[in-house]
Amino acid sequence: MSATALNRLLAPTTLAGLANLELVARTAVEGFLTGLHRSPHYGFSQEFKEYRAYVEGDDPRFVDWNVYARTERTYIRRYEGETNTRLMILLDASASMDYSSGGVSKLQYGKFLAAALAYLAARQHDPVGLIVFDEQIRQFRPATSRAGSLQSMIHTIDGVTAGRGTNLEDCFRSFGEHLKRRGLVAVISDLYCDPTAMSKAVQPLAYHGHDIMLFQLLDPRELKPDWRESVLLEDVETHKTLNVAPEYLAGEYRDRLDSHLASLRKAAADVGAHQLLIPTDEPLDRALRRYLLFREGRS
Amino acid sequence: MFLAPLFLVGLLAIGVPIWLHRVARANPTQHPFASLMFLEASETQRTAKRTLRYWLLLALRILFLIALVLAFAGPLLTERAIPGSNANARLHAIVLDTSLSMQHGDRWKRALDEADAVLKSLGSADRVLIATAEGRRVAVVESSTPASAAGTVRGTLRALKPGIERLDYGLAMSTADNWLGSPRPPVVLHLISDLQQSAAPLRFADLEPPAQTQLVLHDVGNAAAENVFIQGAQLTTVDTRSLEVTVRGMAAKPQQRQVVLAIDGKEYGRRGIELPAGSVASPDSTVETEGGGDPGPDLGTQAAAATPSAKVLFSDLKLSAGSHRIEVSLEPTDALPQDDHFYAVLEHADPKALLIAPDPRADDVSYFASAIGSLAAPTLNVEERTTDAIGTGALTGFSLMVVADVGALSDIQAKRIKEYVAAGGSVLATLGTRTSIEPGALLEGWRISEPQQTVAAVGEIATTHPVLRDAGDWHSVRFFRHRAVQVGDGDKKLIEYEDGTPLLIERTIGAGHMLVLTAPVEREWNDLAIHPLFVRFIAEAARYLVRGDASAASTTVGSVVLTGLTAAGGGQIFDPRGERVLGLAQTAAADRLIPDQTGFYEIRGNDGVRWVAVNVDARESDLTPLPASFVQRWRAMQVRNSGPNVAPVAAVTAADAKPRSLGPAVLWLAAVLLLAELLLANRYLAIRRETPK
Repeated sequence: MSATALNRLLAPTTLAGLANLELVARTAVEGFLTGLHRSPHYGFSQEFKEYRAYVEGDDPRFVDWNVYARTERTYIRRYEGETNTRLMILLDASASMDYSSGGVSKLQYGKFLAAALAYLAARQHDPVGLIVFDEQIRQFRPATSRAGSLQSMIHTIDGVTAGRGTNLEDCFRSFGEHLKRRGLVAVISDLYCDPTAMSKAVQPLAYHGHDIMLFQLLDPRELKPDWRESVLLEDVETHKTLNVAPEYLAGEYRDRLDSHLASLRKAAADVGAHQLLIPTDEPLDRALRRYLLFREGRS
Repeated sequence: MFLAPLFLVGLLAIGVPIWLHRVARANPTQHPFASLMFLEASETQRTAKRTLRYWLLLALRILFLIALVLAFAGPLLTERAIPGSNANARLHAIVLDTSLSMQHGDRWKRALDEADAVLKSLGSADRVLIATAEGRRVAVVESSTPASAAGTVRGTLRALKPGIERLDYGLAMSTADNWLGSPRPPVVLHLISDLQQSAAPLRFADLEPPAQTQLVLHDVGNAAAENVFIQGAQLTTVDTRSLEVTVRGMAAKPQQRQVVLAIDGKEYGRRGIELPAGSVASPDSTVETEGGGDPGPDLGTQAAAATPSAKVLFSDLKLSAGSHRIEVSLEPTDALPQDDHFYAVLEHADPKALLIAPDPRADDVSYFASAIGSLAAPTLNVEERTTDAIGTGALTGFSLMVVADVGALSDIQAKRIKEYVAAGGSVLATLGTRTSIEPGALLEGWRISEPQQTVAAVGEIATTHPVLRDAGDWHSVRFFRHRAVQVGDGDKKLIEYEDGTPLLIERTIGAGHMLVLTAPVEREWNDLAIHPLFVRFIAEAARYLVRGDASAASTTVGSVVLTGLTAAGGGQIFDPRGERVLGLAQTAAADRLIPDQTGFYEIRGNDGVRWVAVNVDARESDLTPLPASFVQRWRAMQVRNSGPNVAPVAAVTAADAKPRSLGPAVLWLAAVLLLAELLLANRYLAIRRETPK
C-alpha cells in the first residue's frame, strides 16, 4: 500500500465512515506508522540506547557509573524506548467545536485525534489521561497505562458530545489541580479565546514542567469563508446573529483571524508551548507526526 | 395623451419592487457559524458591482411595470408631438360631395380626378385631409396625413362612393371649424362638388368658411345635364280614390316616359307621359339674389318652378281598408335612376257610415242622411238601420256611426255601440225625445233633465276644436227647447248655451270618440237642420271622427322617423332589403329611425306592422347649377375672410390628425423587459442559493 493511499485512508471523511472510534484510532495510527517506517529520519524502537560523553549541565543521575569505574570516564546512558511520557489529552467539547461546514465537525475531528493520540501513547506504554471541558471540566480520566484502559478511554472519547460555551482560561487554571505529575499535555480546541489570557492561563502549567501542545482545529470555512452574498451568521454558542458582507469576510475577517493565529503562536511560544493549526479537512498524520517529534524532543 | 389615463394609477405598483428589494437586502439568508469573535456588522460594505447588479434588476422591474401600465393606459402620439413641421405647411382639406346628384353620369369620376389633381399639386410639407359631405354630416374619412402618403390617400379615395342623401353647403361650411379641428395650420378647403343650386342654404351667410381658410371650389357638374324624376305622388283632395303623380324633368328634347304604379308589390297600371323640352337650366337663368345675409327667394323653389312638370292621374283605385305600399316608377330610367322611383304608404279607411234611428221615416234621419251623403271628402256611403236591427250584422266595418236618439237604444244595444267606440269607432249622437234621465251605458254617468220649453241661444264655443274652427254661425241657430245635462269628468263641452248648459259634448271611450248633440235635429227643438252650417258641421264632425282620411305619406332619406317603438313593447325594423335594422340591444329603445335607403321600411311593434316609405330628396334631382354670380359672391366671401394680411399660423401642426396609439409598441417593450428581468433574476437566484465556490 503506497503512502498516498494510506494518507487517503487517514482522511477525516474516511475515518468518519468507520464503525467505532477504536477502529478509527488503530487505522489512523497503524497507517501512520507504516508510512513512517519508510522515513530515514525517524525510528521508533524501545530497544535503542546510546552513550555519550557527559557534558556539564547533564543530570548526574544518568551517568553510567559502571563505565566510569572501568574507564574513569563519565558517559551518559540513554534508553529511548524506556522513557515513558505521561500524556494528558484535553479535549474541548464546547458548542463551537460542533461546527461543521459540511464535512467532519471540529469535535469529531478532535475525537479522532484524541483517540489516535491515546492509541499511539498506549502503544508506547505511555500513561494516557483525558480531560473533557467546555465552560468547565466535564470529564476527567487520570493518566494510566494499565492494560484495558485504552478501550475505556476511547469509549469515553466516543461518548463526548458538544456542550455549551467555552471558558478556556478558567479551565486551564483548573487543570493544574488534576495534573500533579509532569508530562505532555495535548490541548485539542478551536482556541476561540484571548491569546494573552490564554497565555496567562497556560503559564502555570508550563512552570509546573508540563510540555504543552495546542492542537487548534478550525473548519475550512472558518479559515476561508466563501459566501458571495451577505449572510446572517449565527454564533452557535451565544446564538447572536450578525449581518456580514462577503467583502468583509474576504478581507477584514481573514486579517483578524491571521492576527489572532499569530498572537496565539506567540503566546504559546512565550510559555514554551507549541501551537499547531489543523484544518478539519486535513489528514491526521500531520498532527501525529508533530506529536512524535514533540515527544522525541522531550525525551 | 392617453386613451385611458386612469390606468396610470397603476404606476403606484413601482413601489412593490422597490420595497421587495429593500426587504431582500435587509433579510439575508441565515447560517450558523462557530464564533462571531472576529466578525462585525458589515452590511453597508457593498461593492459597486453588486450594487449595480441589484440596481439593474430593480430598474428592469420598474421599467417593466411602467411599460405595462403605459400599455394599458394607451399612449397616443399626436401630430402635435412630432416636431419639425414647416411653417409654410398647409392643410389641404378635400371635401367630396357625396350627395345623390353626384351619381349622375360621370360626375363622380370627375370628382375623383379633381381630387387626384389636388393631391399631385401638394407641396412636400403640406398635409391632406379627406372628408365626405352628405346629408346632415361631414365625415372625415382620412385625417390629416402628410403629403408624402398620397398613395394611402388615393386608396381611401378609390374606396369612396356617392350616397343618396342631400347636401347642404351651408351645413358643410358652418361645421367646418369642428371637423377641421383646432389648432390647425392654414387650410385650403377644396370643395369638389357639382355646385347644385338646390344645395345652397337658406342663408347666404352660412356659406362663410372658417377663418384662415382658403376655399377652392371644384365644379364637376354639367350645366347641360338632363334628368327626369318623380316629384311626388299623392291622393287628390277631391277624390281619395285617385292618385296624382307629378313628374318633373330637365331635358333639351321632349321626354317620353311610362309611369308605372305598383300597389303592394303588384303592378296596378301604367300611363304614358310626355315632358316638354327646353328646361335644361342655364347657370345664369335664375334670379340673382340680393344682400349678403339672405339669398332672397329660395333658389331651389325658383328652379323647381322653372322646371317643366307633368301630372298623371291613376283614378278609381280599388283599395281595401288599411295600409298599402305604393311604388311609382319611370320607364325607362335615366342617368340618375335613384329618383325615378317614388314610394308612398297609403292609409285607406272604409268610408261607410251607419245611421241608426228608431224611426227611419223621421225628419232627423233624412237630415243626417242628406248631409252625410253630400260629403265629398271623406266620401261616406250611408247605411240606415233601425235601432232594432243593430243586433244583426257587424259594426266594425263602419267608419262612422250616427245615432239619432240615444234614448231609443236598449241596454244591450247601447253596450254594443259602446264596445264599438271603445275599439276605436266613432259615433255622432243626439239626445232625442226618448232620452230619459238615466241615459244608459253609452252615456254612463250623465244626468239629463227634462226638456225645458224656453228659447235659448248658443254661448261659449270651443273654436280651437277641429270640428268648430269655422263655427261662427252657431249663434244664429235658434233653440226652442233644451235640456240640462250634467256630464262626466272626462267629457269636454264644445258648445254651451248661454246658461252654461252643454249643447255639444265630446266623450272618449277607450280608443274611440263620440260627439253628442244634446238636442235632436228636429224642427220642434231647433232650426239647426235648415241652417246652412248644418251640412258643414256634419262634414267637419264626420272628417274629425273618421280621421282615417285617406292619405299618401312618405319621408326622405336621412330624415328622422318616429318609429313608435317603446322600451316596454320592443319591436323590430326591417329595411327595404329585408334586413334587420336594430341590433339585439336596440330593440327596446329605438323610437327613432334615420333611414339610409329608399323603399319601404317595415316597423313591427306591439300595435302590428307599420310601413314607412322613404324616398330620395327631390331637391337632389334638380341638377340646376348655382348661378355664376352666386359662386362669384361665395368666392369673394372667403377671399375677404382669409385676405392677404392674414399671417399664416405659426408652426402648429394639424392636431386633428388621428392620434397614433403606442400601446402595441409599449406592450412589446414590456415583453422584452419581462424576458430580461426573468433571465437576470434567474441568474441572481442561482447566486442567492449560497452554494460554495
